[in-house]
Amino acid sequence: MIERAERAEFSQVEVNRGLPAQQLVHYFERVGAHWRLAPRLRRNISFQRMNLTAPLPALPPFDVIFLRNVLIYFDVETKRSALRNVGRLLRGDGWLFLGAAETTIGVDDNYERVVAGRTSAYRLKSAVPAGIAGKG
Amino acid sequence: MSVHAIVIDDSRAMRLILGRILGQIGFDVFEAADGRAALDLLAGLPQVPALALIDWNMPNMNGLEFVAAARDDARLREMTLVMVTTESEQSQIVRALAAGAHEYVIKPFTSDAMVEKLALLGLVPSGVSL
Repeated sequence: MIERAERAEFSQVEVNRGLPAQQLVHYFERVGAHWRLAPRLRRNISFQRMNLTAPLPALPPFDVIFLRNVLIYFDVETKRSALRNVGRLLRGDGWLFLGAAETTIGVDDNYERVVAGRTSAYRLKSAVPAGIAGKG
Repeated sequence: MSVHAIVIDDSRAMRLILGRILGQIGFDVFEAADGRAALDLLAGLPQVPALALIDWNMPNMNGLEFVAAARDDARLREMTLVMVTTESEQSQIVRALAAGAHEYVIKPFTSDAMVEKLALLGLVPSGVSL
């Protein structure tokens, strides 16, 4: 899966979904029957294998973390542990995006849910010691 | 008040498919089999449609020529132009956008993908579930 993500290739059907044509031709290049993310963007992306339930390696804090359709597979204790670990990598003013069927509510009180249009995201409540979220 | 769209494609089957999708999200749909026929039809309509879905390869006047003609016509300036075509080279998408197309959908597409594109353009009325 990581190898596939690193290739950054998408089928025609995939890029037809919700991506404006202007952005498609600006950020992707045609490779055979597929579309591949432009090299200038691929260079800014790195991939690492991690265990969400174990202490995560030292990384600089992130402005945005997408953790979509992962928590649904875990029991509450494991979800709590993963959210705590992820929270340590999120900047104090950063955003966490979960899948549509996932929430921090009732699992980890350190997050607050913010509705934006048809979606929602989570940010750390100020109760989280700034030293943890801001370290990096 | 009803919202109008025009589907310009030389394939009757494709006009039917696109017409059905547009009908489901509340459009009244006109049809034309090529760019020239579309311009003639539009000239006679009291109200310019909000949206045109345009095939590329058609006899008489192709989709790219239609887009250029529509952009040159002050009366048609408010119409949103979406190319719907099998032409999938990057350079062709760039050409169509440069000529004045607002969006580009490559065939084959799913009904959901088409509605999502139209939603991006603000052409799906609220209340229609995606």
